[in-house]
Amino acid sequence: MILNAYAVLDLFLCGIRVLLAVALAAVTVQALLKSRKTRSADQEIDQPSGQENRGYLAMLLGMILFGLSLAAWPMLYLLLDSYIPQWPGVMCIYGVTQIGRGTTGVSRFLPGILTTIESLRPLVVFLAGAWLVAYRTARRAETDSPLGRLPDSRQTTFPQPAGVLAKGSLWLLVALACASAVDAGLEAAYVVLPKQTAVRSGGCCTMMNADNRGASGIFTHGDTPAPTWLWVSEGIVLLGMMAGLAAVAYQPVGCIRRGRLWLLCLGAAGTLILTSLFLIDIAAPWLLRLPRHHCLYCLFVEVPESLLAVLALVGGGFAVGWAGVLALVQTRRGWQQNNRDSAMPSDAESTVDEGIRRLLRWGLAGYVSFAIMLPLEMVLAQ
Amino acid sequence: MTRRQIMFAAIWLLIVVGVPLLGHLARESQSARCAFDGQPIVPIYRVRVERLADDKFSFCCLECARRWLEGHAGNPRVLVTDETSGREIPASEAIFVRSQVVTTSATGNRVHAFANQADAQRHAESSNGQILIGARRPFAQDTAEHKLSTKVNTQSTAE
Repeated sequence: MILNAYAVLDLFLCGIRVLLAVALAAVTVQALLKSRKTRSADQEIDQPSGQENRGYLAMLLGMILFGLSLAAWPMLYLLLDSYIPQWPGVMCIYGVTQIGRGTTGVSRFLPGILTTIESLRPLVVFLAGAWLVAYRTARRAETDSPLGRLPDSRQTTFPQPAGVLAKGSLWLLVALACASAVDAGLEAAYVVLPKQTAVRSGGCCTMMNADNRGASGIFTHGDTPAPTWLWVSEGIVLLGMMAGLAAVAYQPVGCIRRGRLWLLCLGAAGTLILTSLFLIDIAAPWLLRLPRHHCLYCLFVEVPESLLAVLALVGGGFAVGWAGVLALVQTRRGWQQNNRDSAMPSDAESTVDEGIRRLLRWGLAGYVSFAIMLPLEMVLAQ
Repeated sequence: MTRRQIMFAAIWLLIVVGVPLLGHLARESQSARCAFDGQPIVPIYRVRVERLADDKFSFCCLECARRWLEGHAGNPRVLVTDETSGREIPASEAIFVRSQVVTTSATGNRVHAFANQADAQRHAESSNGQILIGARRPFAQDTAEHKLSTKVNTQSTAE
């Protein structure tokens, strides 16, 4: 274990996150189980029920966990950055991520753990955001309790739309708690596992990637021109997403077709994958002015404004995904049963549609920001 | 559009256009960086490679220059920096010493360049090193090719 200020702070954060995640999972599962049972007859209607109190507690825990998960994202990279001077030959965070590769002890798990953490972190933030969006929409649909009115067999035969949303948000909280617990646990394990004795196998991103090929395996030599197909497909996908989002987000109220929304979600996922390839193979060497250097860690350190552009794109993609989650909750059985006989969209349905529309507009803003910022940075770096 | 929306759009546009411009301006004033790995260049370890009159590259150490040359064709002119005086000399005239002292931690380069024999000898003795000769010298092939092409060019010009 390498003990420095960042490691101590990170361990502290991990501990709090694990505790919060366990508490959140317990409270949320309890709330979900209780929502199936009938309220006791002698309960006062105007008094806050145990279920409502659990709702408040879950909301509070979820909010804190969301904040901590957001804070833990840059914290991880600050920690990795602080490890760079520990090994001769390690030049950037990429080098630290390679520590332990090719060893036989427990250190051999380090790269795998780090890759899992790096994949889980965006998932945790996405889940937290999805919960927040569902929760806010439930509040808008029915504002008499922090989670809307939970499905209650005494009140109505079919659950209320807001109740369906609230229940959906509870399931999202369970997923958030599980992902956070795994993420924080793995990060704590990464900090604690021994590293100093680990043999470095190509710690420097320059030596790893530049000699052989780009991270996506497209480049073979430094003088090879950037692949045209990547330029073209990135442009087409970005323009397509922006056009699609503008068309769907500015439709009249109540006309958002779910098929188009799923297509946009699929497009958002595809754009994120394609853009990551574009960033590694084209943008990083271009912006760093180093034709053989395909390292995103170096890009974000040397050209920090590119991180802002990428965050705008990721935010845009997440917003589209959250819109998809809202629509997914809306398609659940309880909702459909409630609105089956109604020709006109109900208030709750309009609220959800408005929420989806707002998210798609935010998504559009993210994509447009990226489409302006990155090309501008590339033109300036030429 | 309401006034609030126009204000919001103006601020957003200012950020989206202004941040890349500010970042570019801030980086322009920074010191030179290695053309291979982007690391800051320590002046006494600087290596310069000139392929054509307007095609010049600076590197943070001999190792970066060597690796860069592996991927680039042509007959480059390699200039290294004398660690004692800090002045540039052609690689073909330099005396190279491999010692225990690492110049750049990222590449692990331990080869040092000197303009005169006495300085090289002193460094080799103090840092448990040895003077590199013949094919073990860095850029041995590149500088030989450059010399040959320069000689051929001179001869053809004379003819």
